[in-house]
Amino acid sequence: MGYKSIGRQLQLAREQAGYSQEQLAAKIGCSQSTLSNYEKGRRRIYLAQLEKIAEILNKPVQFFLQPIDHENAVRQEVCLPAAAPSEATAAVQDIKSREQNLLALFQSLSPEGQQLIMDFALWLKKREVGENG
Amino acid sequence: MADFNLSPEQEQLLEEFRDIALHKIAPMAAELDEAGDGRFDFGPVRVLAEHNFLTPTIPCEYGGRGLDYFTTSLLLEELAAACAGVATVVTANIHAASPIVLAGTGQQKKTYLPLLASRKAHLAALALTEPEAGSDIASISTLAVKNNGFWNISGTKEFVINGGVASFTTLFATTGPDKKRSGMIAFVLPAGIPGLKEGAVRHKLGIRYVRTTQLVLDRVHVPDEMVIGSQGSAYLLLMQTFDRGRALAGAVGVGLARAAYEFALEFSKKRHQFGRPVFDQQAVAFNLADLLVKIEAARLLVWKACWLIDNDLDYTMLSSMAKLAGSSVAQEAAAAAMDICGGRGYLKGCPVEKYLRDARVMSLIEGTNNIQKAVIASQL
Repeated sequence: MGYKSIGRQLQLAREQAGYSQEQLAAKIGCSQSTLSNYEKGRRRIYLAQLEKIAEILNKPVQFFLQPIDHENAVRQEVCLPAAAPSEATAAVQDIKSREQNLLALFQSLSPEGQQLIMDFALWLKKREVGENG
Repeated sequence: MADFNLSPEQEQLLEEFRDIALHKIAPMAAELDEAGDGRFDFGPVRVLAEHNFLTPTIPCEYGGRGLDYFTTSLLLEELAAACAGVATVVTANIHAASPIVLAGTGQQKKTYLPLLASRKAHLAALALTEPEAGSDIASISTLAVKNNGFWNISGTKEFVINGGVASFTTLFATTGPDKKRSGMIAFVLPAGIPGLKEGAVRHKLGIRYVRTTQLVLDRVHVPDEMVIGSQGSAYLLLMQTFDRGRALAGAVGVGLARAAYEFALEFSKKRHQFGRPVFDQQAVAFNLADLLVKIEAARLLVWKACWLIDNDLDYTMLSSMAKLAGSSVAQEAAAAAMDICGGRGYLKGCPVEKYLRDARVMSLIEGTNNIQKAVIASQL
């Protein structure tokens, strides 16, 4: 229904800003479990609350509504086939914060920097494929 | 909330409203239905406007009654029992006003909200659905392009309740279909603005009083001041509007179900077959007992959803449950009433055939029942 994607963006923005769930929840005046449910898309976040979070995390509201497919973006970058929808839902929940941090770093780079990362990743992938026969 | 007693103020308000619904709206219901979709009669909405009941949620500071959702649900149940079509017009007004109440600028609130509290019977419309975008609302294609500080909006809207008779329209468009949710944008458009035209009037199976039309936007040119909410917030604003509106849609279903149940109960006690009232047949009495349980259960869901809204708690799931239960019981009660009334219920002019036609749409508008199940499931 769109709220899972909003939740993923929320988690990404929170981690980029260096807040734990407990810290951000305290700042916006809700419980950690409520924030966790927002991030999992299990609870709909209402506009006033998201505007408050956007201000704290210094992001425009649109950031949270961007149609980004994190899981398939990661899969494409490592040349894996796209996940089936049900598989994707489960896989998204399993993305480690290390991978999300990498994605966040990637997104924060200039287009030139992003190209360098892509070139390096492809070179690394080719080398690994070569080594493994 | 564990106390189910109404306050003295609510009791008094309900009594006043019930009198209007029963004596002024209900007698018009059959005629409004018969007149059909092509002609909109302002009579019933004028009656409601005279008592400031046309959009009862408008805050007091803008001239409204400022009723909470719980109290509004009580009124809508009464109104739907009198005429589901008129109740649907009122919910459409509440729906259209909701984005302005939630996120409108001070000027937008001052300009548009008092209209809905006026004694002159102003209506409002919410334009969202499109020929190719129904449940999948992020796929709307009505395009809003900004140029030199002004927006140009073009596209076609479908199933607009109060279309062509509204004093203003709350419109949802996109700044680029590929942007999906993040590209959605909301506007408030006054009636008569150049480029905004009424399209085809839709002729329906039920709720025939409700004027439902297409709206065609041909380069409607508006300033930034007509944008509702902060940039990028329209999708959430819309979802929140839906979540609130669904609880009230549930109340309309409960009212319709109650009317069908009450009609069937009375009929079953008067109608004699096999030498005794039909009600004495256990199959009929049990059917009515089952209905009453379901009506009461749906009403409690509506009340709880409204209570959550009024207390600014998480209301999404309960609103969908209320709408699902209300619309389901409306259809079940109307069908059961027809079974109990037999051939007489099937005749034109008998309220039961209107209940059945009116009830059918309840599982389609304000999000289909499958969408309600999807919303509930998404929170499990």
